Amino acid sequence: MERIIAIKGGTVYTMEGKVLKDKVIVIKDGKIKEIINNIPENAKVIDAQGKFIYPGLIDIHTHTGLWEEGIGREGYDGNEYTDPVTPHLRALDGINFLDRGFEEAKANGITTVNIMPGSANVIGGQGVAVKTAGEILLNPSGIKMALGENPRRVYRAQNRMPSTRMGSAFLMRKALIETQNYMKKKEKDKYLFDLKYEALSGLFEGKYPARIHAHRQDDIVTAIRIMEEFNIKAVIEHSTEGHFVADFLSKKGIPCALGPIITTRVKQELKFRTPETAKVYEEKGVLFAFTTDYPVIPIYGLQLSTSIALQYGLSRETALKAITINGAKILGLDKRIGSIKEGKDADIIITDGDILEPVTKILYTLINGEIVYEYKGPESLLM
Amino acid sequence: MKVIRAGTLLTMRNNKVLEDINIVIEGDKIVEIKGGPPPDADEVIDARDHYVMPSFYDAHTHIGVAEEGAGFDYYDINEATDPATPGLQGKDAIYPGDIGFKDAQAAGVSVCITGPGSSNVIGGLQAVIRTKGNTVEEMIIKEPVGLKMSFGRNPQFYWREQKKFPSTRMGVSALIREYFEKARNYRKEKDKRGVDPNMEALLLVLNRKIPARIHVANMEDISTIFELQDEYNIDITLEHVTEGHLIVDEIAKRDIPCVVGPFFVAGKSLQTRFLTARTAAILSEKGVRVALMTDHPAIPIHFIRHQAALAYKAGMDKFKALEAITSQAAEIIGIGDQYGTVEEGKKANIVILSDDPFKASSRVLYHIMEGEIVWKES
Repeated sequence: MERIIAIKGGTVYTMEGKVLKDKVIVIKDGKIKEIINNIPENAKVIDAQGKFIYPGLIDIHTHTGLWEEGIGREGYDGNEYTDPVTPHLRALDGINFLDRGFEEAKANGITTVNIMPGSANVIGGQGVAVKTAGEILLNPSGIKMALGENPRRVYRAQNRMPSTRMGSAFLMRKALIETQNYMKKKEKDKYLFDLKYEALSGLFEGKYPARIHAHRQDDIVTAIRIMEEFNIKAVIEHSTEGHFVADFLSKKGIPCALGPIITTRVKQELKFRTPETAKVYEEKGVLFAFTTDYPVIPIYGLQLSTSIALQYGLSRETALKAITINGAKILGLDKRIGSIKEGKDADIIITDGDILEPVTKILYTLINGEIVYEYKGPESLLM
Repeated sequence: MKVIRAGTLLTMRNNKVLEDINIVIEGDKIVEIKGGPPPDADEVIDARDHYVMPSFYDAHTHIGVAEEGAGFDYYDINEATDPATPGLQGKDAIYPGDIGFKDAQAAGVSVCITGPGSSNVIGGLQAVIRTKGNTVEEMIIKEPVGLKMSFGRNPQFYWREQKKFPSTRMGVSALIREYFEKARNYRKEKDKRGVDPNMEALLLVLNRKIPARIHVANMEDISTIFELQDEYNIDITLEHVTEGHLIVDEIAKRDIPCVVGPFFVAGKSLQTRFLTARTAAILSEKGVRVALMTDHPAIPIHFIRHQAALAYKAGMDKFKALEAITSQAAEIIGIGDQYGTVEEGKKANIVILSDDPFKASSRVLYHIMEGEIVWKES
């Protein structure tokens, strides 16, 4: 028998330009079937009267399940510290799907996360976008790369390249040039196969972007410079000093995963971290989504980052986009997720108030039409 | 003389809220709180549409000592060359130019504790400081206000890596007993032996002049701390108290002040696996005195208000959550007689907020520190 769920009433932020009131969202086979006025027959009804309804939240830069919760170093699988160029690694192969991080994500309304290797390596490996209830949405979702302090610090300690910013840029270029050579050779020799170059070939074929960790403005600009040299699509990850180069980002049309904007400035390259970056991006027209870099900050920090950005001048409309539809766009998954629209996945959250308020609680999280979290009193909070 | 015309005043004393009231400030003090038309003053701040309350107090930070945005070379937080360094003084490592202080001013945080970190079992002495000043001397309100001690995995794991004592929980307790016994002997033989700065610091605790402020996460370590407290008859506060909700009755029975948090910390380890903002709510419900912390730079100091918002979201009474970053925090750090509430006779540490303190849209419009406007929204 087909299962129909109807979410009745409430204020619906569709993220499709409309705010709907007192409608019925009909879910069938895990998809949003329609938004109508009456409850269909045989539907299981979720009463959302007086509540707020949003698409499931999206965090496009996390390490969920790669750095596991609550077990210490036994759970650290995020960085392969032995080689600065490892495009053949797949985040998917290091994820523990039983990690409590996924429970925390669902309890805090996050229905999709992009999971990537860490930033110790100049080329870290392949990311994967997953639903927090377990489904693989996109693999690979991009190639994680990194500039700035992290690779330099790790390999300087090992007395090998890169120990400078020049070294990181060189290794990045070298790997891409070698991939071009490989692709040419492969035209003649179909049995040629190299895991590293195969992974990087996808960048040249436009299958997925380079997602480049860069905090400082010079690192941001270097990342874009190198990717332009090879005509590769780039997304800037963190973009902590992006407010200094927002015009440049806007002109180049480079999207950014912004954050965590509320983290400690533990490194020199975080010195100019400010929640104000979001407002500047909005003014300059940079496409961005907030990120927690989970578990760098807890995943409920997505909601909190957004609240705090409001105090620093971001508009409510852009704040909401930056945790829903913008993330879907930057992942290239906006046909399936990121808004409440007929035909899209039924990833929906119901809250007891405005999601942008720091004290608002998630009451229900639905993924593909299934209730994967339900608030049953303060003891259900995973925060 | 300054006058604030407050729309809503949260005094943070006994849940008292006053509407449409004038706060009169003379010098660094609040001299009068009264209704009616505002008295003549050099400056009248119109806050009739806003919320007025005490500025914020952070009961556990390392601000100035662990400088932000400068990298690890500028971390002066842990003198990790010896597991017991009671004679160290936090005030000797405070850099007034730390960007954290600017953030604190803009976010309405007037006062905090700062001092050593948690790699050493006995870390050193702590100071209560203002978040503004060009020299440490201008910043200090009171010192020493506590002796930092540390239980559990931080000292244990650090010294294990160094292949030095103590590398177990047993070692941590033994080291503390050893030092307290030394200090007891020192007290007896002081005249013969001459002054020892390490022993002097420990005597402040043994003579109950200052509390030991003890970093602890796990419930088994909290139990060990209770044993030591009974043996040496000392005053203590528990800092972080991550598993406090699992041993709440004993904490309540002993009436031990707890400085809880921070909540949105980085990926949890074995010792913080039960970390939840519920801890503050549960302790508070049982009558435990609770302050909150950012542990700056663990969490940046300008998000102290959000620590309280998270505790409130997790079920803590709204006033208790706000007291935990104002009046109760001031009490627990030892300056409650002069600071922490908006009352006649208290220091004029006041914030004016555009809205309810837990609203996302609530911005700091004015921050007044001891009568002086140190931040104003432009």
